[in-house]
Amino acid sequence: MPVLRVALAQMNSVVGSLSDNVATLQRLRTRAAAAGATVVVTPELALTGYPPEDLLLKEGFVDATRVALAELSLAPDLPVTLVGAVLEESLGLHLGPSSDGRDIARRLEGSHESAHVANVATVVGPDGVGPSVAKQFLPNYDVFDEQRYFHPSLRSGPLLNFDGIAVGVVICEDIWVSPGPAHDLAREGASVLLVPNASPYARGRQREREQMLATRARETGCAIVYCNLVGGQDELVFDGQSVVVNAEGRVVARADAFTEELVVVDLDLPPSDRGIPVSTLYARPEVEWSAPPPRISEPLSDVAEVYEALVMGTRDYLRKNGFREALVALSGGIDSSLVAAIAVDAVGARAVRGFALPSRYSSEGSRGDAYDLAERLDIAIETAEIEPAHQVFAAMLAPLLGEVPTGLTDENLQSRIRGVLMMAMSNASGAIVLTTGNKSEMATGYSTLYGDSAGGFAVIKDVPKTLVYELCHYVNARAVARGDLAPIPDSVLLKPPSAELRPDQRDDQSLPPYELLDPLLALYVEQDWTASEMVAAGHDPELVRRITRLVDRSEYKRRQMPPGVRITKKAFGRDRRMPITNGFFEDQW
Amino acid sequence: MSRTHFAGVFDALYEGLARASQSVYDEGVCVRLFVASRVLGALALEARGSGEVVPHEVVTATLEHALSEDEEGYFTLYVFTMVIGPRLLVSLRDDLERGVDEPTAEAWAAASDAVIGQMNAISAFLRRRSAPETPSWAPAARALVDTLESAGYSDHLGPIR
Repeated sequence: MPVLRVALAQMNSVVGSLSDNVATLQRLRTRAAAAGATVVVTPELALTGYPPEDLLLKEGFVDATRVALAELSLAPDLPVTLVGAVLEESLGLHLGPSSDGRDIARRLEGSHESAHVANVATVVGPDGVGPSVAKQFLPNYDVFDEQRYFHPSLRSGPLLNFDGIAVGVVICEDIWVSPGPAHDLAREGASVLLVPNASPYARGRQREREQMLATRARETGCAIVYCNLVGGQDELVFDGQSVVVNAEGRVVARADAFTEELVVVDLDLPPSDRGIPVSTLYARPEVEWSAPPPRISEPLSDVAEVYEALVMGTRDYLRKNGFREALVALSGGIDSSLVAAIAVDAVGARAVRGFALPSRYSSEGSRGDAYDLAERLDIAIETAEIEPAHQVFAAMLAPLLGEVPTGLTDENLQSRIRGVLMMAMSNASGAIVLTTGNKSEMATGYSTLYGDSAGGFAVIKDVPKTLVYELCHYVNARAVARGDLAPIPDSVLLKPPSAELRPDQRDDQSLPPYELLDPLLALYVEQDWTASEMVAAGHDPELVRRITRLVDRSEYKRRQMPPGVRITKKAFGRDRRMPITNGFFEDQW
Repeated sequence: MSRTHFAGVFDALYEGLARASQSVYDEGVCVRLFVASRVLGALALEARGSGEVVPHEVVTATLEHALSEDEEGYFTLYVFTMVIGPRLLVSLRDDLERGVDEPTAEAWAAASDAVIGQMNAISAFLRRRSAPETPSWAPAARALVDTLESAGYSDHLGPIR
C-alpha cells in the first residue's frame, strides 16, 4: 500500500502577525522536509492566528494574508502544506449567504466588485497556491463568532490526491457534524481526512475530541489527522494535543499538550486515482524507510492540564503583548500565592516582582507568608505599608461622609489604595499587573472594583476557589517530586481564607463555605440551571436564593474585569453574556 | 561556537559509522557505512580547523545503541538516514538562518548536500538490496527518538537554544 508521510505542525500562531506566522510555518516546514514528509498540515487559520476577530473587517488584512500565502509558496525546497488561512470567494470558492443575515464583504482591489471571505485550508507548494477547501459549518456558540466574519462553503471538498492517495480536507467544526463533510468525502473515495483545528482548551475537552474522532473514523472508514493550534490568545488557550487516529478509530499518534511540536506519521493507505492531483515534489532526501513511529503522548491529569493551561495563557498573553515583567500583590493568601507560582512558571522568577502591601489589619502570619512564598519562588519582593495613605484618605473622606469611613467603604478603600500603588508601579516599570481574583469571587462579586481587580490580566478568574486549593497542592507535589522545596507554604494552605480588610475577617462571614458555594456556582453559571431547578435537585432554597442573587447583582463588576485564562466550558466574558441591566428575578414568576 | 559544535557532530558520526563499518560482515553495508564515515570525517576536519573537537556525546551514544540493536548494520544505516540525518539537516539550516559568516555558510550548504547525498546513496543501496525493515526496529527507533528528545534534540542536533 502507498504511504502518506504526514507532518502535523502543531504551531503557536500570533493573531495578526503574518510575518511571525510565516516564519514559524517555514521553520516547521523545514523540519518536515528533513523528515521527508509528503504533506504538512497546519492548524485552522494558522496564518492569521485564531480568532482574528474584527481584523477580518479591515480591507488590508485579507489582502496581506494573500501576500503572505504567496510568500509561503516561494520555497521550492519545502513540502506541500495545507495552510489555514482566509480567502475571498473570487478565488474559486463557492460560498453561501451569511448565516446571521448580514453580508460583510470586502471590496476587491481596483474594482467595484466585492467578495465574501471564507475560512479555508489552502494547498501551498512548489506549484504556488493551489486548491482550497472552505469551512461549511461556522460555529457561533461559546467563544466562537464565525458567522460574524465568514461565509460558509456550499459544498464539501474538493477531494485532493497526494501521490496516488485520495485525501479529504475537513476544517474543525465540520468534522463534528454527522452526517457531514467527512461522510461526503468518504463517499467520494477519501481514505484519510486532514483536519486543521483551532479548538480551545476546556476541562475534559480532549476526551470529547478523541471520542468523536474515533466515532468519525469508524463511520467513514478514514484515518483522521487532527492538527490543533497551541498557545494563548487573550482569554483563550489552545492546548494542541493533535492526534492521528487510524480507520478503526485507534489513536496512533498524540502530540504533547501546550507545546509547539511537529509530529511525523506514516499512514499506509489504499491507492486511488480520485481527487485533484497535487504536486508533492521538493528537494528532499529520497529515503524510503518508514519514519520512526510517532509518540503517543500521555494525557496530563485534569489538574495538571488546568495548571499548564494557566501557565501557557499567562506566558503568551505577556509575550505576545510585549510585557517583559509581571507584578503581583502578595497578600500571603492562597490566590496570590498561586498566581505568583504560575507567573514564575510562565516567564521565570527574574521577570516576576512581588509586592507586600500590608494594612493595619494584616496579620503577622500573612506578612510572613508573603515573604516566605517569595523566597521559595526566588522572586523579588518589596513592602509598602498602606497605613499612611489609608489615614490620609480617611481624613479626606470624613468631612464628605460626616464621619470616619467604616464598614465596606473603609474595606474597599484599602483595596483601592493597593490598586493605585500596583498600577503606579506598572506605569513606572512597563510591567503588567496580574490580578488574583478567582472565579468564586468573580461570580459572587466578592472583589473591589478598581482595587484588587485593577490590573492587566486576571490569571485565575475562571478557577473556582476549591480548584485553587487543588492547584496549589499540585504545584507543591510536583516540586517535591523533583526534589525541590514546595513553593507554597503550608501555612498558606491551612489558614482560613480572608481578605484581611477588618479585624478577624474571614471569607465565610460574607460567603457560604466554598465547598458549598462552588458546586452551586457550577450549576448556575456553567450549566445555566435556574434557581428552581437547583432547589428541585435538593439544594437548600435559601442558599440557592442567596447565591443566585449575588451572581446576578455583580454582573456590572465582571464586565470591568481584566481578561483571564479560560479553563471551563463557560467562563465569564465571551462564554457567558448576561445583561448588566437585568430585571429578571426567577422567584417573582 | 557553531563550527565547534558541528565539528563535534560530524566527528561523532565519523567515528560511529566507521566503528560500525568495521564490525558488520555484509560487504555492501560495510561499504555504505565506510563511505558515509569518510564523508562525515572530511566535514569534521573542515569544520574543526585547527581547534580541538570533542565528539558529540548524544550522537555517539545513539550510533552505539543502533549497532547494538542490529549487528548487520542495517539499523545503523536506518538511524543515520531517518533519525540523525534529518536532525542534522535541520540544525545546519537553523544555523544558516541565524546568520553566519560567508565561509561558514558555504561550508554548511556543502555539508547539507553531502549529508543528503549519503542519505540518498544509502537509500539507493537498500532499494537494490530490497532490504526489509525488521519489525523490531520501530520500538527501537522510537526509544532512540525518545532519548534524543529528552536530551533536548526533538527535531535538531543543536546547539540547543
